[in-house]
Amino acid sequence: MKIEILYPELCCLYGDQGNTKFLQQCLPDPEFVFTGLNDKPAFLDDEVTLCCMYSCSEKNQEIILSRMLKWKDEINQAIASGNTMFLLLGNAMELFGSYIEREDGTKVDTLQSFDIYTKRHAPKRFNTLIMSEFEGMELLGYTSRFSDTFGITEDIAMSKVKIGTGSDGNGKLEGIRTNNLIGTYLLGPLLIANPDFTKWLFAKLNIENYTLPFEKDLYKGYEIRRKEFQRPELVMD
Amino acid sequence: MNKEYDVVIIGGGPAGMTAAIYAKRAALSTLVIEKQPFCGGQVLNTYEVDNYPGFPGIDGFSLSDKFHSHAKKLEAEFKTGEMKELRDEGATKVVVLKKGEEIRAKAVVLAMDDYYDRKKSIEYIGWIYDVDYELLNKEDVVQVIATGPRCYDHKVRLLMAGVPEDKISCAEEELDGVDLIKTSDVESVYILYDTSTYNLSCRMKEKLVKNLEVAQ
Repeated sequence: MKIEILYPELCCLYGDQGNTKFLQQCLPDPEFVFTGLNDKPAFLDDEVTLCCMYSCSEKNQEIILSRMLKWKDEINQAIASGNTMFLLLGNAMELFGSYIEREDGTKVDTLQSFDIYTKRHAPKRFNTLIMSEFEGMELLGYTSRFSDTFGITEDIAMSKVKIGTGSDGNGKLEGIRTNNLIGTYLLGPLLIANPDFTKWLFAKLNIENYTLPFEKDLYKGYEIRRKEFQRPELVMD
Repeated sequence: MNKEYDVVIIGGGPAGMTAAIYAKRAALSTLVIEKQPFCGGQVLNTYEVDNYPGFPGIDGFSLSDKFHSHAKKLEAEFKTGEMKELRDEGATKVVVLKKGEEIRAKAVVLAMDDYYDRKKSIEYIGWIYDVDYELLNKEDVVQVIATGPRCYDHKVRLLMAGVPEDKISCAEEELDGVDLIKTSDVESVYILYDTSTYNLSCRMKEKLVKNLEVAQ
């Protein structure tokens, strides 16, 4: 089994790399490929089970796109083929939309994998805690970003927000999901913070021989956070 | 009617005193309200502040005194008191102190310990994966106690860092964690706290001292 982490030298904000450490401890004999900025993504040529990309700065988004756009058609073919599962956290999913609009109205070319688009609004940072419903489970997390993404419809939304705000900064639809791609504005150690989601992901990948390390404590931490989301005095930003 | 200040700053720590310096430099009438008899907040009890430009190795009390002198020289006013309520009357904000006094201002800057606001939020756990918990995976660290509502999240991070599970204890209430310290086994106890839980860390220290006195 091969797991690819895209551009870890740039996509490493908010404790995202905790997911990589966690996957290394969950899986018995994984091969990790860390694809750097000047490398060709491994999933284009090799059999990659899971490809993860985490959040980065807006400037680094554009640097990464300057490399990825070379393989735009191949990347979109790989997504369409369904051979690799993609997990995109934070603003990584913005790279796969139709375009990113900068604050001055100019546009950044993106991979156009999905009919969604992003508008940046720096220096206004948008922060919110999020509890959303995904496959009958409650995903818990947090987003912090200088942008919102529009055009996400119910049929491609990853989850419905129960507490907090969706990807457009206003509605309740959060993230994108196709058969083999999950993109969410949730940041950081998503797999650690949401053990049921990790189990779902492994099931989706037909991985059976995994161990969720420290499972009892993972669930204790999750349950306390889930209860905290129920507090009436909670302030969302 | 009482005097109305341009700016009232709640909290006389480094942030509050810095705000006072800026406000006075903008020629605004300024009052700093600090609940402790001395301004300085957490830095007062810091043995050495070695990262403040221009004052290498200065102790926290002296640095705080310099901040205070600077603000006083610019004629910022200081008052000891604790805010009970903040009332918004439109153009005027009213700070109500615990002793009942009301102070009026055009603007209020809150620069205080935010620990007591924590029920309004949920600590995001991402930061603990940007911190080298691996440094605690050492033979001479004989016990690690994770406390507070995130204790199990910290425990998972410690386990991922290779810290043996039998060295780790958890307490959901911070002060309960003090009772878990195996004082007979340790030479030193370090209390790690964030910038908003300094007062809590002091209470933990006081409880530990009492526990040690009882044990003797």
